[in-house]
Amino acid sequence: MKKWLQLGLGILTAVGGFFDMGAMATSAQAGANFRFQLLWAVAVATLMVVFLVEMSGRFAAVSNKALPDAIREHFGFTFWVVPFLVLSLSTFLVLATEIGGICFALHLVTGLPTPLMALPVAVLTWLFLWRSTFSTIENSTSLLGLITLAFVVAAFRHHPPAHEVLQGFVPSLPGEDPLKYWAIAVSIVGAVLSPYLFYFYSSGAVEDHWDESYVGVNRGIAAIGMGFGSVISLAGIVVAAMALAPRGIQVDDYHQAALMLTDAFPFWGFLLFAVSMGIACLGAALEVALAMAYSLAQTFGWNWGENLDPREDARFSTVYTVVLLLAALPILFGVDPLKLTILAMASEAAVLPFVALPFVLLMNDRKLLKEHANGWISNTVAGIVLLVALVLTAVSIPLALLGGGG
Amino acid sequence: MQRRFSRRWSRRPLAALSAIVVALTAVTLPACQKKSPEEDLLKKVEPVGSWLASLEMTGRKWLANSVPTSFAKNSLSAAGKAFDKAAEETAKSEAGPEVRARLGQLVSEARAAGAGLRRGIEAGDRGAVAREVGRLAQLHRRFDAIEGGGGS
Repeated sequence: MKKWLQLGLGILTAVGGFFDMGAMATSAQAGANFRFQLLWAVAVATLMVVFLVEMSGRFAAVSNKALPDAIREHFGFTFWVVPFLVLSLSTFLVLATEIGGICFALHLVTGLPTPLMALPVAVLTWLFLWRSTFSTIENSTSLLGLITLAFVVAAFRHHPPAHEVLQGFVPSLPGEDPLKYWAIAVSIVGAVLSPYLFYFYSSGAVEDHWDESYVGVNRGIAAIGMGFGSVISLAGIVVAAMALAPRGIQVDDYHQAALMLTDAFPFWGFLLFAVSMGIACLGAALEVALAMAYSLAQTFGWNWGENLDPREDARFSTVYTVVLLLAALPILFGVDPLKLTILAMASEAAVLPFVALPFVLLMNDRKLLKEHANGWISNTVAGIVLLVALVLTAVSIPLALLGGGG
Repeated sequence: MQRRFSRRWSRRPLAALSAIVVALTAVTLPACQKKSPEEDLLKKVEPVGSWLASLEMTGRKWLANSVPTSFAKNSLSAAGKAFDKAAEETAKSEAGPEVRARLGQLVSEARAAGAGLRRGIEAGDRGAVAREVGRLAQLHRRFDAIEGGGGS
């Protein structure tokens, strides 16, 4: 039972890394532009991310090491430096996006300009990280993240046509605007397969002191946690398809997405959207800032751990302090949160193979993982992920430019 | 043994990955299709239709007390920027004069309807807001007609 309480890690990873600013934007754009036609993209990406997250949890449980730590130790610093740099750059963009999301949620509620919120949000997020232990972050984000279930309730309240929804799970070609269709599809996959996500999950498993006995539980946690994020993303598409698409509203700006829940919940819908966005982005900002600090500390072999007092891992704490402040700058200087999100999603898709390859190689090390090394099923999925990642890398930036990511 | 393994993999997979990515990107980039000036202009002003619909919905939701006044005003500001950009694109487009005139007129009316909606909301004048919502709906239908006809 105690082990199943670790479900919080799965939900934190899902709320932070799955249903975040990127997923909200891509779901809204997918539903508003192509109704249910892109549901398959979320389903495919979910399947892949469940496998990747399960692998990273299994790795941490068996080896008691987080991924960046193990890759550096195993392959050497020179091997890890390129994936580390591209991962850091892309993760930084995601962090800026999530801070933008919290600021935008506050802007919706208060009416104050988004840039005005950037520094206070960065400082409050930092304060939360500084004062909290890993389990406080895990439990509070998982609990508060449940508010995003409002999207699922809204999807049911719209009574979407079941056959059309089911058809959406079968990949199909768009009737018009194929560039936009593929740009959004790639953004969806990029938003779900966030490279930092499985690196973060392995660090979280080490923070939670997982051992080999968690291998089975890890499977359930990965599936339920990512499934949770997936259901909300799917619901986001359905709600946008029912509330925005029939009116001809596309999502060129987050103000348009903010209307999504107002048909299903005429009185609370607007507030529910703002609170869901704020909480999802806060969970993501906490996770991404920690992921950057984990990755840097493990790359250089520093002390790390959110459960340690900041004095015991000063460099680790300094990293998340600095990156949070730097990530607030784009929003402070007035960069549009939606444009930043599109750029971040494209960059995540672009760096995926560079980050996934060392991970997959490590998962096949039988000396380290013994009988828990990847079998043929995991390796087949990992191969598919790498193939998809390669295609994403090649097409993500051109499609984001040509199709505008929606 | 481990060092040799490390050296071997440290050079090859990432270099191979980069080469594959560059090759795939080179194949993807030429997918950019050439469009007529009319199609190009319609694509660029596409957000106008979406914003007309959004403002109409925002106005209706404001009347139903579903969204706060500050949100409605901020949406109007965001829509205003999109209308300004569309006016700029229309002015500098190489599309035929008739298409440009129709779109220019529509964008100008959209700006006026937005300004009217803002005045109504600021004054708390529900009648004026309802009128502007009707006007926005009409403009949206006209925009769809222009878009559906390919600008003609």
